Amino acid sequence: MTEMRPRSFAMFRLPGTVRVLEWGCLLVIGFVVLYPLFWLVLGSFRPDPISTDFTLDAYYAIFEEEYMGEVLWNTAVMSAGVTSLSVLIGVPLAWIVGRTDTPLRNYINMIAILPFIMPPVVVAVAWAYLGTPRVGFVNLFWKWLVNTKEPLFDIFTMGGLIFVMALSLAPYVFIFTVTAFKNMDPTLEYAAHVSGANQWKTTLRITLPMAAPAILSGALLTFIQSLEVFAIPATIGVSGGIYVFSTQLWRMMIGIPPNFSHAAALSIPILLICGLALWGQTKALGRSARYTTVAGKSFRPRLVELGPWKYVSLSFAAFYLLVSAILPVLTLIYGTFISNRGRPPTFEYLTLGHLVEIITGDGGAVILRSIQNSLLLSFMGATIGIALSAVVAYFVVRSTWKGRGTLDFLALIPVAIPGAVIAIAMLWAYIREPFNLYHTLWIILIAYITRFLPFGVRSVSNSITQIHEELERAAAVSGANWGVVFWKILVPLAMPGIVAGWIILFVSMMRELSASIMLFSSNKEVISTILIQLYDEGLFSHVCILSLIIVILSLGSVALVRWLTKQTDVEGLT
Amino acid sequence: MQNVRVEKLVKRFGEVTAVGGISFEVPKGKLLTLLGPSGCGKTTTLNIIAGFETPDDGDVHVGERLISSATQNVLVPAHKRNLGMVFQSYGLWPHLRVRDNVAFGLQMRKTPKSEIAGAVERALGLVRLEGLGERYPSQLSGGQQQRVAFARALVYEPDVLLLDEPLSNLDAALREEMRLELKDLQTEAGITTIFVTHDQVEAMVMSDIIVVMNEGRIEQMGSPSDVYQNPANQFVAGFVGISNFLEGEVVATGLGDARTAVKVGEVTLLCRTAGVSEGSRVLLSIRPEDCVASTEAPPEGTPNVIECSVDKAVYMGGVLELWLSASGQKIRVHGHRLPILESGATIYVSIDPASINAIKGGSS
Repeated sequence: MTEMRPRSFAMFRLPGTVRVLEWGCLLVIGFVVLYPLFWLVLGSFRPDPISTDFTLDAYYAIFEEEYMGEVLWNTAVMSAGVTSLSVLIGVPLAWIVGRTDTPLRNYINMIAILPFIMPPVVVAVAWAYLGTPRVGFVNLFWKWLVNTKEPLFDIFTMGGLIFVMALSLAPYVFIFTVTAFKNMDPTLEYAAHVSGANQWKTTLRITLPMAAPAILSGALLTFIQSLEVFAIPATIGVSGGIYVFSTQLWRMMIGIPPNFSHAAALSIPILLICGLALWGQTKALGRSARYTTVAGKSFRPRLVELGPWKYVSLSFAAFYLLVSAILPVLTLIYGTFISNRGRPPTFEYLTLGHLVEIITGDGGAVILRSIQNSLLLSFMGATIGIALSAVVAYFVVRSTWKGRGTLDFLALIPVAIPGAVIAIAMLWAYIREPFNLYHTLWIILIAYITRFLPFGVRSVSNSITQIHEELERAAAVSGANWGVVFWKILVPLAMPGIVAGWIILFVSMMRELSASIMLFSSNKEVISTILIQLYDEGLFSHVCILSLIIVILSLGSVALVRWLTKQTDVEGLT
Repeated sequence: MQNVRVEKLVKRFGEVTAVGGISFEVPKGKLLTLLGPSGCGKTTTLNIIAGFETPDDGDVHVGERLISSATQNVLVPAHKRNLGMVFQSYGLWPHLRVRDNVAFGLQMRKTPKSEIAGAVERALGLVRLEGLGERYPSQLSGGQQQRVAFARALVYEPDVLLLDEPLSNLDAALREEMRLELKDLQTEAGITTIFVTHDQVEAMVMSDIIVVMNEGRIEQMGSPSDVYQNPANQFVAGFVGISNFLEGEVVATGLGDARTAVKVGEVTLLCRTAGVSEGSRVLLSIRPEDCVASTEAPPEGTPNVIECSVDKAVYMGGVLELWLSASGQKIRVHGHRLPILESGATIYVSIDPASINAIKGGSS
């Protein structure tokens, strides 16, 4: 019989206020998540946000529009290509890090935090500068190297789009797969060897199949992300005339007048596809845990000795890091300090002028304001978001209340909603009475909180789950009531997780683009929307400076979060 | 100090009945052990007494105070029951110093600050941890953490002490040491204690009363020697210590010295338990250490002599562990001062009738 673990709530005769809090929490989360979705669905049947007519026109219209076939085709090709390429990059990298004796593999493991340090918008602009056929740095280098006038490649193509997207998203496949590889019981492979299988047969027949659910899980998440990411299609795709779903939504919304109904109608099928993918991903993840986790047992997985091949695997990993992180960051640094684009980075051409100019120049006021807006939104958003997340996580993990499953599910829903779709739903919901939030910072704030709620909840619930229930029981036996247990035991112990969650929310909001781009208005710009504007205006050095700021901010946050989680690494917490 | 009365306690998890209507009483100042395999309901019982679980039926009294009753709809919350508890993983709060861990219960009872410091020192002294109050739990060894957990549970002089397998996380040597120390502490504090374990040796060493549980029911309740020497049924005999089970038919009762004769296969054994009728099937429980093995036939008139052949003999240092068979029955015997025996050798086993226990209604 499996041990029934009672939840700590069972030991208190709870004051009625707690029940009220639980219901209040469910209502707030239910409203935040479902109200916009309700309007999105309703909106797709209305001709415009003011009218109350019921019509299917929007659905007919989006399928009759001449370019819609092309957009769907582009989206399908892009998503399939990005998912496949991400698996082709992510799985070998995970194997190299998790299961081989490749030198420096602990450093290669950094790939896991790459998406956090290098957001898509940064990778996108950097590669736009690296891969332009005429003056892209990689192409210039190529022309010089083989002495030709033909560029190596053109980044502004479907191939280029898939390439940059996969660079940015491959870490998701990597993260899930490397965890599976590292948690695999080596005995299973020893058994294969003893049965007569050689190294490669064991890897192909035992190791990879056991990692398959994890790989599938990572691939499905990558698929969702490929529909969700806006920055790369908006820079590299649009520059090459390639429109996909997210940029198409954007095109509908920036038209004059913006076409709310068509955007809503187009969002619905995408929402269903993402929901389905997320459902599959959860299933695959559950299976993966069954395959690889052995409770209470930790082992060192067996490492494959690659011999001379280890330099090949090292080169593969190094090449990935070069193109996904090192070259982009070098480009940003170059752009920040070079006097004129195209000059060699020698001392005489270096300048601090751009750093001064970005503040004092023509656009300085707007840029400063966008930074202020972003800071304000992210600070408020992260604070409100984490407070909400903490309450949700506490009830979900520790409550005996029947509604906790519903609460958990509601708080997870935004993961399956692309940012652009959230933005359109927000517009439908909050543009009207009783809210009237169109063209305000509030609507952006609500969008941020809604979008990143699942990340906050996960962060806090992970840390609450790690707190052994005996710690709370010990307090209750000692005579502490519910409130004392909560404030004196639970909150201090969960604090590192709460702070880490706050930082994750803050940074995610600081660079949010796909919802912001639909919701910002004059005077209400944020860093990422300004970045895209500057990119469109061709302001090379400004783009590099802002991107570099984002990278540095992210890097600092990662360091801080790591330090914080290390602080919690004391006995009794795990 | 109070006694504890548990009456007809029932707890179901869905379809599974974890605790099936058990009753027992812990007298003041005594240590009662709930002993049984995992899943037997012992931990659930303890959790109900502590107030972490809501029972489906039954009452729990501490002294005259009713703390949990399904029929009278009484459920005193855990923090108002005035109990002390030591957990399996100790449950020391990692963010508080040892001193603050121990002081917590007193703070909850609004003890004046001036008194708390002294009480904490005394409690740490009791468990021989003077001077470690400023440390954090992670800076202590497993045995020290264990003692802090004890000091924390005892410092506010609770009515009852609950111990949830507190020794299972220690290594073998330390566990043996702590067993005795724990028992001493408990006797010294004179506190009514309920102890949960699956380790029969622990239960033997520490208990005043042992309650053997299986599948949510009580199989036997009694003193350690009672449970060991007079197991009530096959489960208890098998779970507490090692036992041979021989099935037979009662051929005569009321013999001299209140003996009963049981025919097992071709041999007839004398045993002590009465209360069985002629012709009924019984199960004999014989401890390996109660058998005397010898290579020579014992003198005529020695009761209960069985001629066996050796299946396997394993030298274990002090004893020779013997697996024997006699007329189709297998028995296990501890031999002393014997030569190394080959398989197939003949050996004579004699068993004192006083140490053979007949269990009614031998299973089929």
